[in-house]
Amino acid sequence: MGKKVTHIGLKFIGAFLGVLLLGAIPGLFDGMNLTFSGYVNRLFTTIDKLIHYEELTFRSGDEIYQLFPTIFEYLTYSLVILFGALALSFLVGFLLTYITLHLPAPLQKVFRRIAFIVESLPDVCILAMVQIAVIWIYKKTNILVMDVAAFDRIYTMPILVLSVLPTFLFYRIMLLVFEEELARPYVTLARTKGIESSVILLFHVFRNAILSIYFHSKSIVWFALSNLFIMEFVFNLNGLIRFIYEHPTPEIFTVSALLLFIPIFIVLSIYQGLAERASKEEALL
Amino acid sequence: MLRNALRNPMFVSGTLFVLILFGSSLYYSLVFHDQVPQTSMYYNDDGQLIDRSPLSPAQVPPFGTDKYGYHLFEQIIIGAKYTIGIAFIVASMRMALSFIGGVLAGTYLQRTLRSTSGLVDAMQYIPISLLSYFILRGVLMENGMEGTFQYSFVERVIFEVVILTAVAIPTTTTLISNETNAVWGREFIEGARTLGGSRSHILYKHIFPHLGPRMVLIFLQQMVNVLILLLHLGLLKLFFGGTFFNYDPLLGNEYLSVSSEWSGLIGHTFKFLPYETWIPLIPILFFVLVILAVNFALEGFKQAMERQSESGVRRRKPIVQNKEAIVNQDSFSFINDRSDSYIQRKIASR
Repeated sequence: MGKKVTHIGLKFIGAFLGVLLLGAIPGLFDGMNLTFSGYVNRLFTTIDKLIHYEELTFRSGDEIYQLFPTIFEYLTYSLVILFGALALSFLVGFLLTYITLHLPAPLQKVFRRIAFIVESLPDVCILAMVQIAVIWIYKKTNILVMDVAAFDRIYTMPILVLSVLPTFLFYRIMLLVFEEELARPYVTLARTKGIESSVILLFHVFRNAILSIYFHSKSIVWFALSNLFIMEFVFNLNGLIRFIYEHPTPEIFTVSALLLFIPIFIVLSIYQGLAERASKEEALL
Repeated sequence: MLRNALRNPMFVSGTLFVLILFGSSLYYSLVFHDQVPQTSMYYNDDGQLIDRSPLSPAQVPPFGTDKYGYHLFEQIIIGAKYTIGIAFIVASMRMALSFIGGVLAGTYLQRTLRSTSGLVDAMQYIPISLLSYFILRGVLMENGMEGTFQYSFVERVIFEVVILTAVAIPTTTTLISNETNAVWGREFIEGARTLGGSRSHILYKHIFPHLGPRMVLIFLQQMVNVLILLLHLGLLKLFFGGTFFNYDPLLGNEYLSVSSEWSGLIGHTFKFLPYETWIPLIPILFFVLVILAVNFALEGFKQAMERQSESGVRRRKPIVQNKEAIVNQDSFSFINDRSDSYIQRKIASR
């Protein structure tokens, strides 16, 4: 247990430094010239500013505001949408997998085809379709499903929209892992003992599959993060990533990246711990 | 391998679609010199003026026109070679560099790589489009007040290609090095070592052939990646080769693409989505089609790979069958009658 904590701690420090180093990368370029000294300079000024974080400010119009604690409002909003969407897509993805595995083979094939095509759609396309749909519904029924121009923070629609692509990614991964797992001898054994197939699926297979799903979910989280950015931009949501875009100073970039990184890292670590406990296997990393 | 892939309908249709689009784009620019027809007025059969540009796809088939009456279809065709070309070039460069780095790291420094993986992990917490946006902004965006670019078109294009390549290098390199390392761990490598194969011999004769198909998969994935990245940057008003920026506080700032690359078409028209839906939607649709086509190729290639591994190694020479050999029962006789003892042994060995 202690070893694992040190391991996760080391990983955290590594990723923390990585974000710090990455955050200063825009300083590496002076126009098109590489200036290494500029990079080092920027790195140190950023670190210096981070240490005195309570003095950080941002401009909005002609006013200057304190960065802390205002930034937390943006952060929580982004995080709620991100994790909400991820949790939703995990659940829906699992549900879809569960249903698919109980379907006859030809229908499974159809499901797979659909998932493959939806998964190939770029996020921008989905956002555009949602926008068109919202306007179309408004024109037909006068009901505004989502107010894109509003300033206050909306939750339901962004979470739903953001969860579309991750759902299908989760679905695809889960289907793959579950099928691999279902071919294992212990499933046959359980079947011969007369255990119901849904029980096998929900308890035994799920427990073993969850660790493999974890490895893939990292990239799904990253994917969702980049989706979130474009969504905040297109829908005018007051989230953190759009905040970075609108206040392009080096320290805000690094601070926001760090603030995003910490909760995601913690959640992923907890997830990893739970998955390891469930499958009684250590994640080799 | 390739023959197997070429037999797969998904792979063939995906590749053909991209190639035809690219080819027709080249053909159009060579024969028609990238001319875009313009229709800004629309008359009905009686010669009365009904509408002015932008005209819808119903009025000017197949895709309608943009705000200034330029036909979208020709713009799409012209842009295709840039978009597909960039995706291809950037993906190939990513692959070439990551392949060298990944194979070296996977062969010699797997341990060091594992300890630095934390740094690579950091890439996962910053949206790549945001990072590239910050790096590219200074070079690609036209200075609004002066109306000039700091660098020439060629310089900007090279810079953008280099940056788009560089942002993915850490992740792809780790991926390839892991793949390489996995091949080094296979049993047959042990066999090759025992037979006295040197490291470079094993690398060339055993590792590379096994990495090859995986590399094609990663390459196609990277291509999709680059396309999506271009799309994102286009939405953020960073167009390939640079953005003309007209500062206009009254009518809203206007951004225009220097090249007629697709993401530029989307970026500067996305705000028309509610009113003139087709203008941004058609380039987006083409992006979707190209991404879908590449994914088709990817899926088809995967299927071909699976089929290959199922059928095992294909025999180079056909087995020569001796047709004259006639087998009948008399040709064989049992050495000893092992009916009972054999079965017993078999049960015991279980």
